[in-house]
Amino acid sequence: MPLRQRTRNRAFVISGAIGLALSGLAWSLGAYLGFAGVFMLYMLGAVGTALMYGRWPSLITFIAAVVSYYSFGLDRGMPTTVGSLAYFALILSLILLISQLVARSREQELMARIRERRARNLYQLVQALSSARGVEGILNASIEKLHQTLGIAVAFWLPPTDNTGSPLQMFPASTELEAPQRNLRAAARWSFLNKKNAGMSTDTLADIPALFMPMLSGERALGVMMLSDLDLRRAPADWLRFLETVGRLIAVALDSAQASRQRTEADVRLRVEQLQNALLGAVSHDLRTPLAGVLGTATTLQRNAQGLTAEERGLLENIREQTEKMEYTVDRILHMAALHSGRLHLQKEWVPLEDMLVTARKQIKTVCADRPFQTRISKDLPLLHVDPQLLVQVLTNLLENACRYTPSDRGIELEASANDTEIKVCIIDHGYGVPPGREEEIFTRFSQVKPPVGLGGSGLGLAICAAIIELHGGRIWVRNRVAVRGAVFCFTVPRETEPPMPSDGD
Amino acid sequence: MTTIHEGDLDILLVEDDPSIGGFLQAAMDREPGYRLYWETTLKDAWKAWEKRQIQESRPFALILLDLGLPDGDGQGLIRRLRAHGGELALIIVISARGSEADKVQALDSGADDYLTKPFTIGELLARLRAHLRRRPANAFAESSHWVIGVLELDDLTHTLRKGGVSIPMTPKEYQLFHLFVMNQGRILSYRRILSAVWGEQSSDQAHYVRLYIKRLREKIEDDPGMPQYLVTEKGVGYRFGDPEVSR
Repeated sequence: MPLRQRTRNRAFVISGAIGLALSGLAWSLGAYLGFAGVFMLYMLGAVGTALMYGRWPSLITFIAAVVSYYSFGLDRGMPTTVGSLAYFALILSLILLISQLVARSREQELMARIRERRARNLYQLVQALSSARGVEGILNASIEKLHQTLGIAVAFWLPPTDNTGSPLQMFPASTELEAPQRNLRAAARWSFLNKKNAGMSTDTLADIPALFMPMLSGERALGVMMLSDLDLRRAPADWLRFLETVGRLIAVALDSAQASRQRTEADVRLRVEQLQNALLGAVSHDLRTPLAGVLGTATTLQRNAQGLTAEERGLLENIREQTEKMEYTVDRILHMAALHSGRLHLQKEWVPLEDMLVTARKQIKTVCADRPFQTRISKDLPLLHVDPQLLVQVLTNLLENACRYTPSDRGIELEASANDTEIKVCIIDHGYGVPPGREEEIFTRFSQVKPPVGLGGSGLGLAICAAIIELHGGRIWVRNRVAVRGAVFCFTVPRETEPPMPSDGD
Repeated sequence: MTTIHEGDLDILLVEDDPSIGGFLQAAMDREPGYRLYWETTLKDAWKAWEKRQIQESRPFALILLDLGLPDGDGQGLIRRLRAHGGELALIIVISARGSEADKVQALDSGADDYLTKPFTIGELLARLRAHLRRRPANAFAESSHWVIGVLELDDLTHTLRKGGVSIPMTPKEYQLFHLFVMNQGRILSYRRILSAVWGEQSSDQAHYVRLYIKRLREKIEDDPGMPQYLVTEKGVGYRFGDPEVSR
């Protein structure tokens, strides 16, 4: 500021001096120039200072010239005082007109220069953003560039990356402003949610010494810029437009950085999944292959057992049974491992319940033997949108359970119905029921109610059911029957809008 | 103790595990009518196949193929066999991989059937008998009248009878049933069924198949809950089986 003041004062002094000098010239040359020539001289000087320094200096020149004109007595020999005054008035109006024109063209020139500088600033910002890596890099580059080129201090308020709805975080965290942190947070939050400016020069929380601008990418707010050390007195509309553009640029950069980070994360997840699948596949292969050797060998011997004693045949049968039991357990454990790796993706398809039931019943043919089986499936039961492999597993486990715990002459029943939101399937047995108080525990891993006769299970069956139903967003529970012996196992899966059906026009 | 007969069926076993190859060799040596040749790598299997094709006019009628072999995946061999003179050979995959995706891929590559390890020798022999029964495949497919169990299908009049009683069917149901009869004993994947009956553009509408199978079962099976003819192959598709053959 003092520098500007000094140049202004100098301009005033020079202008005054010019006015005096003009009078001097008029005095010495008056005889040659004549009345009109003297006034042309004054006009030239006044217009010259107006062009050079603007309105006030030219007025000073004018006043100095007029004062000296009369005090030097130059008006002697001129026609009349009134006539000279009229000439001076003419000069004055010319000065005012010209100085205004000059001022306007100056202003335009200044604005052009400012625009050019902003365009350059934006360009530099774009360059800085495009070479920045990651979200933090982009934010740091923005802070540095805006400070360097515009002299404004910037900090950011960003939502947490996990979209949990927890409060906005300030970046950099060490930013300090002369306002309570609480008010800053409130202003940032308001701006983020309403996608409008807040803080100084706005209608919202105007007493905060910073301006909050949402960073918009399309219609989405990615965060809020907090700008301080900002002079909004000159051309505020222009400034705001410029800052808005800055905000959009940063938002676009942030958006692409976040998208690329998500891609990377998805990529890593996929690879972990592939690895786990490969591992499970290898374990499965390595456990099954020796079992296949044993079972195949035992059954080949059984098939050609003509020379063996009854006892030896019994031993062979023993090998076969134990191998089959082992296979069953291996299957269960691998299944549980797959479910609990947490990486299992449901491969949902639209399936009629009956179709899965056929598969399940085929798998438990040995355990359930010729036990009477009744189904009550409502005629209009919608298709289930489930992973058929997994749901067959649930049905198999529940039916097998029912058979294991029910005396062999009693039947098993299955009921299925749907309401607006879910499809419910219940399996009803005539067994011994569940000990009261253990209704939930039996769905946890390795929990087992001791079966009546020497039938042992892995204790994994119901846990597998619970895990699968949970994955489908359904519920599973058990209750004892009222008045009669037996248990009712039920599960639900959400009912979803059915897909297009094949046209029956055929 | 093995005696070679002219009418014997030549089987090529491709299996790297010695205990499995060993019992299959021992079992087949004792079964009349079968002769087993055992190779342990894809390369040797292909060599044995080619040698048969070129030098002797007696190609292998059946290939038992393990998928995970030391020199690669057996899926490639299936395609290669199908492309090079092995159109008529039966290919049965025996694999310890539990994954249904592998089975579907093998079937779509051209395998006729698969058995998941472990299996009993009885299961394998039953499967072989079922497949051999419908050979030669061409003669079976060229016929227009079939009797399977109590079912009787006449392709000239498009009628199906069960125990002499005519069963009404919509054209699509008939088309589906006909496809199964033509491929008796063979597993048909969802994709294969969809493209044959509903066209290529419906290949991701597996529920069409499931719904129509449900309807067909209600029409032809004694107990639709325990089907004898239209058997589900878990996660893969369906197989039309003759109840007398499949146990």
